This record gives sequence, C-alpha cells and structure tokens, in this order.
Amino acid sequence: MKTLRTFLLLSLALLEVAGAQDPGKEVIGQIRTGVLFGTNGPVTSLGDGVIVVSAAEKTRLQKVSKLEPYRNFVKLGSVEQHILKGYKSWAQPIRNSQALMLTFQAQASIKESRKLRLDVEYWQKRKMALRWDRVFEVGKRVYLVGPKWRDGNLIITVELVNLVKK
Amino acid sequence: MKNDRKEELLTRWMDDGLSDEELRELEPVLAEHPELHEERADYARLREELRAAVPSEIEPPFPDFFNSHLERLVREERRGVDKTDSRRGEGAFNRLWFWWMAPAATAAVVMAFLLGMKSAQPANQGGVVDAAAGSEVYSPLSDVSTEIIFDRESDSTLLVVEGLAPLADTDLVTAEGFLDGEHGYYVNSENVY
Repeated sequence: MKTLRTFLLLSLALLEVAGAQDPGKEVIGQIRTGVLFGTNGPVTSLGDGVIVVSAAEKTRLQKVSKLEPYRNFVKLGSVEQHILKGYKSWAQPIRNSQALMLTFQAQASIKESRKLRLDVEYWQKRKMALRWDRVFEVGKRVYLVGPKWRDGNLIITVELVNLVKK
Repeated sequence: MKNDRKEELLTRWMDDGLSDEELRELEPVLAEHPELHEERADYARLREELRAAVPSEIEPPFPDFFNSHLERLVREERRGVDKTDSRRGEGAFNRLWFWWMAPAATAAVVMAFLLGMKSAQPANQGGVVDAAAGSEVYSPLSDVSTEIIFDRESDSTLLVVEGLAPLADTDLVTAEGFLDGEHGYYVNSENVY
C-alpha cells in the first residue's frame, strides 16, 4: 500500500514537472475580447448586464458607414485571458454562446516594446470565417465590424491589455 | 550574345534544360565565368535537399492564405534584392544573379513554410519581425470581403467585414445575462500545422 502511494505521488510530481517545463505555456501577455451591439431598438430588451459604450466610442463607431444608422451601442460581453507562447487561445466573449468565437496565436516578438504580432481567427458557428495576421499594440483597441444580429450589427473588439516584460 | 538570350540560356542551364546546340552557344559565357559551375552545383544540391525533405504532395491547410503569404514574402525578397542591386550598380550580371537566386529564394521560403507547418511550436520561438510589416486578412468564404479603416483621431483600427451570414436570435445566449468573464480555452498548437 505504501509503495503504491509513493508511486502515485512520484507520478503526480513528474507530471507537474513535465507541465512546468512546457515552454509553450509561458504567458506572454493578456488580451481582452468584447462584443458590442449597434441597434436602434431599446437596449432594455437585451436583459441585465449590458453596458452602454462611451460617447467617444459611439462617435468612433458611427464613422463607419455600416454603423452610422445606429443610435445605441452597448457592450454585450467580454473576456480577458492570457496569450500563451505555444498555445492557441480561444475566446468566447459571450458566455455560453459558441456561435461567435475568436482565437489568438502569437506569431513573433516585435522589435519595439508594447507590440505583438498575432494571428487572429474569427469563428462563426463553428466555421472559421476570417483570419487576420497583424501587429497589436498594448492599449489600442481594434474593431471587427461583424455580422448582423436582430435589428442591428455586432462589433467585436480586441485589445492587447499588456505584455509580459522579459 | 545579348543579355536577354544569356539570361534565358543560363536559367535553363541551371535546370538541365539545354539542347546540345544551346549548350555550345553558352560555352563562351561559361568559360568567361567558371564560378557559374559552382553556383549550378549549389543550386542542384539545394534542389535535391528540398526534394528529400519535402513530401512530393502536401495539401496546405488554407491554400489561398498560403499563396498570399508566399507572394508577400517573395515581393519583400525581391525588394531587398532590388535595393542591393541598385546600390551596387553592377549592371546586367547582377540581373542574372537575381534570376538565379529568385527560384532558390522562393524554394527556401516554401521550405521554411513547410517546415513551419510540421514544427511542434509556432514561429514565435525567438523570431523577430518588424512592427511595420503589413497585416493580412484572409477568409475561406468566397462571399466575404473586408476593408480596413484607420481612424487617426482615435488612433484605432476598424476591420469592416461584409458578407458574413447574420446570426440568429438564438445564437447568442441572452437568458443568462451578458456578463464579463475571464473564461477561455487554450489549445496546444502542437501538430496543428
């Protein structure tokens, strides 16, 4: 019995060491993904938890002709998660809704600080609809004006929150 | 011999594609530049190594994306070679050099891409790229088109995507409220590409 317990403890310790040695699990930054909704309908029908976006952000979005007709812009949800060196991160910005998801995969370090090249994929209803390879800068939000939903339009936001300093 | 003719013959000579008559025509050039034999041997060796390392048939995961990446890399490679050529100002001989090196550079890019596809980790293992390098958008859906708008006032970027299928009312779960979360999944990219 004692031997078995020792064996199990040793196995667990080895597994832990193996996990700790996976260089792909190194956290290199943090990213936030959100979903906004532009609509002319009443935002109260969207239930509790929606947040009206700032006036500045509304003005920014209304510059896009596709979003110009909408009077109300609200945030439906967001998710913040790590970017790992060797793993693809899946973001599900609206809890329990897998119809709209994004993936992030770091591609390279950048010479300048506060920047990271990411391969971003937009998945809609379990199909990859778009792949975007670009350099993201900490604190600069990027908008993806996406599909229609109800009487309005969904907008996905992506923001590199921070990068781990080496 | 005119330079254009010389280029054509040399390019085909590199690929063992000359007839006996054409070979005789090229002989004076080869006699004048004996180092070309060494270059040809290097090129043949690279070709053989590529053949040995790369499977004869492989289906890229996203051929369009692969092609657009490849074209961009080749364009950048050519720009680099052009700059070098104009700086050196060595005339027609450098043009010949470029035409020989272009297939080799392309082969190297293909090789790097395929090896990257087979590698266990993505290409972020210490790779450094210029932040000014352009971004690329790709969609496997033929109906989808995109436009990138940069708003200088707010220093933000908007990617407008047209042609996505609308989501149904039931696609987004509303009953549980729209709460911020810290949930997410991580998938080891090992063996993905």
